[in-house]
Amino acid sequence: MRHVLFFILFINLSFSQQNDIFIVANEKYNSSDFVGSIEKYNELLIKGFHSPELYFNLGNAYYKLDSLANSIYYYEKGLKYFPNDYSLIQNLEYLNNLTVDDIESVPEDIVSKQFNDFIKHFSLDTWSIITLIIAMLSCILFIFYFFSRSPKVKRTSFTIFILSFGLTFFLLFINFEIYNVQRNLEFGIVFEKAIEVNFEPNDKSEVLFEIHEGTKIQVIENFDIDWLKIKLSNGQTGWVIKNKIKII
Amino acid sequence: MSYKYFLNIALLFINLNIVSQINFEAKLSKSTLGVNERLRVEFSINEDGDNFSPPEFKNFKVVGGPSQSIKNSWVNGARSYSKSYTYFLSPIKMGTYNIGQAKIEVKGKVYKTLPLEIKVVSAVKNPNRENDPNYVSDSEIYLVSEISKSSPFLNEGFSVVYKLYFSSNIGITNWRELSSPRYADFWSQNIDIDNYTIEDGTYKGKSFRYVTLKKTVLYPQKEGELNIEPLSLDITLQLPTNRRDFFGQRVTKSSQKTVTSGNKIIIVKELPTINKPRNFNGAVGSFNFVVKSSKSQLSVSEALELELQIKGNGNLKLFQLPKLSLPSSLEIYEPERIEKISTNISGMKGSVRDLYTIVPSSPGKYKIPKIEFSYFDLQSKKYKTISSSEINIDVDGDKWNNDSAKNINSKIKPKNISLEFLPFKTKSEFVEIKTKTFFNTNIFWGLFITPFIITIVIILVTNYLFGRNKFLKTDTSIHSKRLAKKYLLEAKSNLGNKKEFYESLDRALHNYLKSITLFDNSNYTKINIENELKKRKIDADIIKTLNQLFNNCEMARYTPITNVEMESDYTNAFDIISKIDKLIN
Repeated sequence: MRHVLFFILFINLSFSQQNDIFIVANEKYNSSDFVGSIEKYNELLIKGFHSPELYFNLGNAYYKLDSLANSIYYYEKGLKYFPNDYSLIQNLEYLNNLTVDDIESVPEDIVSKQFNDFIKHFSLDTWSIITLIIAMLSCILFIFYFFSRSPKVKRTSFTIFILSFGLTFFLLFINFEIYNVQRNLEFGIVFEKAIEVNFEPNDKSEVLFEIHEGTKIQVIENFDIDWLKIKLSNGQTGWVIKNKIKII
Repeated sequence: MSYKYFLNIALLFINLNIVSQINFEAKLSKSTLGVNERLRVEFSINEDGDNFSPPEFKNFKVVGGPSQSIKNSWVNGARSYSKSYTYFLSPIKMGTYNIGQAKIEVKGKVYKTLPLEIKVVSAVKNPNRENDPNYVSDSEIYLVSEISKSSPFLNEGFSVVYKLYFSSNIGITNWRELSSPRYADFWSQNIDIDNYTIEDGTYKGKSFRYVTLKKTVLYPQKEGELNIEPLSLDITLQLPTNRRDFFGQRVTKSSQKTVTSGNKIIIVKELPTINKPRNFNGAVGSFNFVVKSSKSQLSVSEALELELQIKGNGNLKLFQLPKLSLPSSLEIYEPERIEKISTNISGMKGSVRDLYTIVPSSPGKYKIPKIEFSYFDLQSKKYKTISSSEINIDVDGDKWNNDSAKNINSKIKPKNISLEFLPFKTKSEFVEIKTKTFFNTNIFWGLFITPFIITIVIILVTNYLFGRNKFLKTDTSIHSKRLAKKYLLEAKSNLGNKKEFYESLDRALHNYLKSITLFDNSNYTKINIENELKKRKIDADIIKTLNQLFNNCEMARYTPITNVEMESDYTNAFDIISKIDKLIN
């Protein structure tokens, strides 16, 4: 018991320490020392702590330094962990207006869009916990059904059991979906003024098109050490040199 | 006398008869000739003819002739006669031509020459003009092409100047271009010469007068050896003769002469491939590159003018200006191209400008990225790159609503996103960055499976302990007993009401028996009940009274029954139930 108390106290202390650093960084930001504030914000990231506001402020600081690519990079990174943060979405949207490329994404069909929006409501861990709770609930309902004597209770508990049992597997499917997306979908931001996208992973091959600073791309494949196969949101693919792209 | 005359005529006729073969032919001095040479055409006939008509000398100019000559000789009484018409022709153009048929009439008969083919080729260096009566010494007049650079770089401008040198005792009255050079692998521009001035100069160590006839600026478009075709001129000259006029002045005589500048070969050097900038697009010369914006601050839907200007010397007309790449929400219109280029002997000079009109569609701090322009500098023989400085443009105001496509997009997104840049946040709650997810770990699957396992275990254990049947039976027997009690109580309260009383009693007994025998309703017959009760060693008396009671219950529906009877039936039923209870337990 004493240990647990001590642990909680320690966590609280360390969290307040994070806040102190955050405040210092914000003060630097406020006095237009953006480079200094970025250093401080990064210190927090290195320590292993983050929050949507941290990514947001990092993005803002880079924007003040006129570094479009870095700014977009941090907003996107924030959205990766906190997909529902509206401030991040808004400033990202604002910055996307300033990028050279205006890539129209392939429209999703309504069903999958709704599904993806629904999925976004919770993080993967929350979904996992919800799944476990529903699984447990369905077991309890089954026991209820099994032991109850009144037919009324039996009937209702059985119906709810069937529903929740189905729901468990649906939730499991959602979990897998998010899990796969997180593992397989890698995104990157273009950090160079302009890069040529080649047909094949070498310098000699035909140049298909150009992408510019701040454009978000999806990474599909790696080849050799320095080539990446990328995909734009409009479905175009090609090869680019790795070091001009920063993976989110 | 008359006899002699007659004899003469007779002899003539005999002779004619002997040499009656009439030969009319055309002879050319050459079958191929340069465009700057002369051609002699001779039509000769060995008989006296009339009405000679020359062919039409198409593509030629008759410079001399026709001159007629008659040869008449008698050798050993044989007469040879020839009459010839000679023309001197000068070709006008290169090509293969025919000298047509000439006609002549001899004693009423028309004779024709065979047509002859002649090939006119490009100017020959040393035209053979022995036959030209107006031969002018080659050392008196020259056409010289002066090339400012014999081995320029690709796209490096150079000039070709054609000068006509002539000695001081020759006068030139007119000239005509016979073949003007086509500059096949060059971009060329002639520089107009308004008035020709005669200047003094030396050529080959001799003093001459000269006229600059033609100036051309050339930009080679191909690497390697390129040929500059010669220029050929037909010049009308005033030549001095040996005669002198009354005042002692020399009498001049006009004459024609074709002069040509020789073929010139220049070697065009390739631009170095080392350090060639990627955005190099062929600009050679020395340039200055500027990007200017008309405004640095404006509001949405206002227009901005961006100017890309290249100024300097070089092949200004022969390359593209660098392209502008801008943030996507800046709308760009096709640029207006303004060229102010003057070409003189040293090449093109001036400026090329692209004027872009830009309209921002949403507010923000835009950056017009650096634009780079590369060219090959001829002085240092190196590539040079000029990059413009970045231009920042502040756009304020609301998002421009004209852009309908974007509006639709923003409608889909959550309402609280208005396009505004939000300020930094002051408060935050920190969480540890988790790299691992809870899902798909062993703990997750363990926790997922556990409740199911527990449920299965619970069900198996209860089944093992009670057995599903047993468990169910005790359950129903308790339930039936409870019902029996309920109906018995109901019967008691209905003592007096015959119908209700017996119905309740019947139900009470049934349910009670059900709780003992555990029959389904389908097996529920009197005989089955009797057998079952006997099995449980219940006295025959009890069974008998039970039967009696059932009979009463049935009978009571149709026969009148008194309250007393009802009461005794009730007590009997109560007794039986308590007795069976005792026996079973």
